[in-house]
Amino acid sequence: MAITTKDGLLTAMADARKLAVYKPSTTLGFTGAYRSWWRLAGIPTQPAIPSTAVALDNTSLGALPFTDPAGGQTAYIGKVNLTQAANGIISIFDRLSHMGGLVANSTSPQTVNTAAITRPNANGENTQAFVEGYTNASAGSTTGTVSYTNSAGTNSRTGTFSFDFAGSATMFEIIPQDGDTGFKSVETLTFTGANASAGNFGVTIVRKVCDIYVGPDSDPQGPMDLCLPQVPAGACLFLASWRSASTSGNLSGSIDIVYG
Amino acid sequence: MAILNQNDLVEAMAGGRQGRPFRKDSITTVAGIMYSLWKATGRPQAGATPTTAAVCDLANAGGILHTDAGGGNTLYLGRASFSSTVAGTLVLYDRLIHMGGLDGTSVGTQTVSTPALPSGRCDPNGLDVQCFLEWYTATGASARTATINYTDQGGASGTTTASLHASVAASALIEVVPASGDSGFRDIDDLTLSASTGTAGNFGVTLARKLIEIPIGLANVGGDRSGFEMNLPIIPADACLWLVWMPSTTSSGIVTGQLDLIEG
Repeated sequence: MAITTKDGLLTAMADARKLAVYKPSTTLGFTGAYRSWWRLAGIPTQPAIPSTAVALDNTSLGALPFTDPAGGQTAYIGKVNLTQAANGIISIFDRLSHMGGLVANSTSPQTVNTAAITRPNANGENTQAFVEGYTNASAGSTTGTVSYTNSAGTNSRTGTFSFDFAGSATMFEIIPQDGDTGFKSVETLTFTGANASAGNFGVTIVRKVCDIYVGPDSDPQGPMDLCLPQVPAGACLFLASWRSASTSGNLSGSIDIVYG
Repeated sequence: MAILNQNDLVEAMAGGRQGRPFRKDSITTVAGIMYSLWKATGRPQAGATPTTAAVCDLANAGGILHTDAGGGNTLYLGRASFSSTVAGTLVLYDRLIHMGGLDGTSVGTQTVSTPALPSGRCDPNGLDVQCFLEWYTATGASARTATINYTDQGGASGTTTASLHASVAASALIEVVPASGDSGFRDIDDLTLSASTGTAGNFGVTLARKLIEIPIGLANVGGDRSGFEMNLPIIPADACLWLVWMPSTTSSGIVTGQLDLIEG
């Protein structure tokens, strides 16, 4: 089933499930990149730095406590009501697959081999991939490439990224090869320039659920404002901020899930 | 089919959507001049520099890749989110026709000869079609006037002029304003420069239909627009979704966001 009428939407809204969010103020990293809230303490709980590649779901530590829809129903984001001191865009992502343990002091290809994704299918259409920082190396920046399989199943595609070695908690977007619209998997990553320190970095594949403007007095956004984004069963929902200021201020509020 | 009432709209929104993220790397700009992000690197990748005039469609690299609506449905822009590392205005066009290879040193008549407007993507007579001169490689330091011959929305021949400022840079757009009394372009026939700019460069003619304009008032802050706020723009079948930037400063910044396309 799905919501197909205004009445159906109203019925779903009346039975919304609220997901609380609270994250303490944090630095927002680098201009032109996302600040990942994945590893930040608060609500939801801080997860560990990943090592081997794993697929994630709504039971993963760090995910918003999203409950799957009952049989035959579909879940949607029905309302977002978040505030923080810094004005800016916050993205709600479904975190599909991640891994860590990549090092910055090497220009050799490093194995990534992301775990197979499953939501809403195994193809990776409309997914985005990021190099995500967990532990800083020394200061400096570089570029790099990944070898990946696209959403059509073609392997040995090449994605490119710009990267800052001090990018702990930052997500640097991997630009797919011409004509590609998603990442099914990422196999290897190669930094163009090496850093003196190893640091700890990983590759994360996500699908954006929605972007929302958030500020100190931002209004709630309802289902028609948000265009009723679907949340697939098992979704590992987490937040990331487009850098807008040096610090975010405390982020607090809630995300309502509606079912129908 | 189409969205005709509130239930249709709810069903279309809830029925799943194409979330199409985009990210374009920064290009050099001058405030007050429009710039095409067609050749900017990022997602989508840079488009090719056109040669002879051709219709653009959703398969063109440089446009935001997406899929047409299925089963007789209509595709709409249900939501848009956007940000840039500098302030400016982001404009989304359906890039209908483009061509390149015009010479900034030639003083003869240069052939443009755009093909017929693509059916279903704009007014068939070109009432809502805008014309731009688009730069692929910078031309010279001498400011010049271009005289453009075209067919107007009524099928009559028209002539207008466009001012080329000195040293027009790659990716710059100069809008061609139709002659008094005309309101659109059905096709463009040719172009003649008043004199050489000093450098050949490479520029062309692009015809496009505007879909939405989104002001980004503050660097890095961005925002979002619901389908209601955008008047639920229809994305025609085969549309080539082209990003254009009106800068406030010397760069476009990194432009990022997502288009959420719904169908019903």
